[in-house]
Amino acid sequence: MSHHIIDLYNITKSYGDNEVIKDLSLYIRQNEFLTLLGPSGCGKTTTLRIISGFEKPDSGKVFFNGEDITDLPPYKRKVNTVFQKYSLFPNMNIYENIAFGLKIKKFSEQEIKKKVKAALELVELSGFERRKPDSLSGGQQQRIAIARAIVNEPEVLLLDEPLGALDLKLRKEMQVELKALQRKTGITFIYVTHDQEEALTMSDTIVVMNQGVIQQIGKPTDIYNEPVNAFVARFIGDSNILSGVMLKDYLCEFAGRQFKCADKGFEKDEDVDVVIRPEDIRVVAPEDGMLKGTVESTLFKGVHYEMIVTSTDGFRWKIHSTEMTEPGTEIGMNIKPFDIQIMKIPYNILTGWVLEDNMVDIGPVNVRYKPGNANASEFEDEETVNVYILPQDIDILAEKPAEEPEDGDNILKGEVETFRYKGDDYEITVKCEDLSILVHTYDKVKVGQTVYLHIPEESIRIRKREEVVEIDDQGN
Amino acid sequence: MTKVTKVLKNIPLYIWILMFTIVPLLMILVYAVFEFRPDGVHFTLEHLKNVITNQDYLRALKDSLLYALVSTVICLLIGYPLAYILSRLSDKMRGFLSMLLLLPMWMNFIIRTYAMLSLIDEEGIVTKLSALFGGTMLKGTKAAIIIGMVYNFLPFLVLPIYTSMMKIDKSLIEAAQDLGGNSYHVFKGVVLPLTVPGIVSGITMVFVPCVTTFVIPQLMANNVWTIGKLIEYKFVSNASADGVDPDGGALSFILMIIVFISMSIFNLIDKDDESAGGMTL
Repeated sequence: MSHHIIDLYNITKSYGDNEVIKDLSLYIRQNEFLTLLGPSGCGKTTTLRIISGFEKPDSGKVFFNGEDITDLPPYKRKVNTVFQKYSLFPNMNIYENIAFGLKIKKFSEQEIKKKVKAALELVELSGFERRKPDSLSGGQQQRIAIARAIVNEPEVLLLDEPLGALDLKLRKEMQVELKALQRKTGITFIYVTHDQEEALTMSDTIVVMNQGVIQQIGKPTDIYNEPVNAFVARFIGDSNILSGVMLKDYLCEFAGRQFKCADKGFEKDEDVDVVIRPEDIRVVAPEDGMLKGTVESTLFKGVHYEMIVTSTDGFRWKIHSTEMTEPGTEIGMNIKPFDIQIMKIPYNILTGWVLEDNMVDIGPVNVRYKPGNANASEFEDEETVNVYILPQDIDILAEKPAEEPEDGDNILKGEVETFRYKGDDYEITVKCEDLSILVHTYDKVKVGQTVYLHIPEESIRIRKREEVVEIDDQGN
Repeated sequence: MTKVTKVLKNIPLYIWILMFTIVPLLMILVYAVFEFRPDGVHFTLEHLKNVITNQDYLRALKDSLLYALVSTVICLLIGYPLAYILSRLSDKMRGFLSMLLLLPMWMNFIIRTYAMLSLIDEEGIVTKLSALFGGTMLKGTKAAIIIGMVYNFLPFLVLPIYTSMMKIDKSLIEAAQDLGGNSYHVFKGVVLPLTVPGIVSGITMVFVPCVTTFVIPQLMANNVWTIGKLIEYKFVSNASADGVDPDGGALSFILMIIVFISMSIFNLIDKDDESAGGMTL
């Protein structure tokens, strides 16, 4: 097992009321290419800035080679950053830009010349020494920014969406070059992107984040083939996500029939999410199929056709096939057991502050929890905790409550943000002030509609935030 | 757009420049080299010659440049750190403090100078305080002129520097820190070079009015002659019924040339810095 070069322990960070990182712990191994992947606002850039020292975590610790660097200013850290907007110094030429860090480190003029030359060779821009940054193209500026960072021989290179401003073709080329550069130099890369394809192409390890919480950590193939929840499955590539029930080990039910599958270890009749990749569905004759459906549309995508197929139960499937099928055709669909990915339904994880009388403050309102779910005496007053609520436990009230909801009624007012049919029920996200809450419901609602959510007392679970783990001398 | 419509669209601008820049400039030149006498208009270089040979005029000119230079340097020493501090404050604090900085400018320039004067004249609190330590009255001294100039023109230097500081992309400062730069390196390598345009325009905004002002020296130290005071004297106080003192036109013309030369030098510094782009650590 490789040496950990960076360890993050229980990091939290808020801007005002907005908590961007919630209790995040992560380690980064030496020489790996690790990608923080997630939609904008998921906390990936903030995590990177905490490692570089430009942001200070509200709580938690950052370790570098086993040494606590939480309070170390950026200029004393042995990491360098490639910024999103390149951030080359406009008042200096390329040589001076690359030499900036070396001059500060008091290298001799001779050595600086040699190192700058080597760095420019590495990014294939030899002879650009005397040019000004604004006379270079975006791709060239990006390479200079990389050269300026790696010329300092950092132990860790941080890259904040470095290819975001480049066009598609250049971006693909740079992906290959960056990966090659990382292999050649052996520097640990921490890469931030919202582009799942970029992450899958380049990374040794991918960390998928959403709303300040790590969703999954794994190799690209693991993340793609075995997403742990619906968010990851949806974020990484196209997928069909349905609500299902795990009847027993290796047997599940969704889309109106039972399927053999490769998963076990769930409770009997546990509600689950089922993920099936579009390329894993085989199109067969209607009478041979496990499921029947009608092709609604067919789109040629270069290598394959993408079809939308409505099955008899009403679910719209996305299917990739190399063969063309006319819209309107009735087809059968077959799915192999190991192509069915079963996932636990993720909890809503909210930040709460424990109050008296079995109440917890979750931001918009104070809610009451069942005394049995948490021993009130084990929490300090106002202690920050994680509050867990399953999406299927939340009810949508049929109509507006007669009276204005009070604390303890466990009723939240919110607006529907997203809406998705999952074969059996609907998965919606409801925005309640700063919170975004996932709800599973059989009711049909519209995006933008105002709804009242009721969270039953017994469905609220409260857990302490873990203490900072002390690490041993080896930094493990 | 055709060339003709382009020209037509700019006509208001051309009229403005003609009326308020070209014509006044020509009039200064006319007053410098023509004499308007009851018997007609006469061309003469006598007054220009007079201005550059008269020892009193030359002393006033030299003093004016010196006061302006000293005041500008003091403004820069106070104003640059002020702009730097201002640019690093939180949005709310910054708005409030920059308003405080500009607040005195809402008041008339002469009233402001009188207010300053009341602090340093016979009855002034500064005079009384300094008397306790054996000091003398500031009013009437050269220092009073410099105080007046610094007080009046400081905001004009702070603002352009502050603006150029606000324009610096925060990520450039972070990049410098990221490369190992402490506050000194960040300042020397990034902040200072990128604020040079602001410094140059700030210096211009202070130096020129300092050279030409007549109100400040008149009020703060009436016994000292500056070029601004001389011109005012020639054109206003000493103007006779049969026209202005012709030396006034010549003085204005010479002063304009000197200001033009000093501005060219400042701008040269700006250009130099840009092309060299140098950072020396």
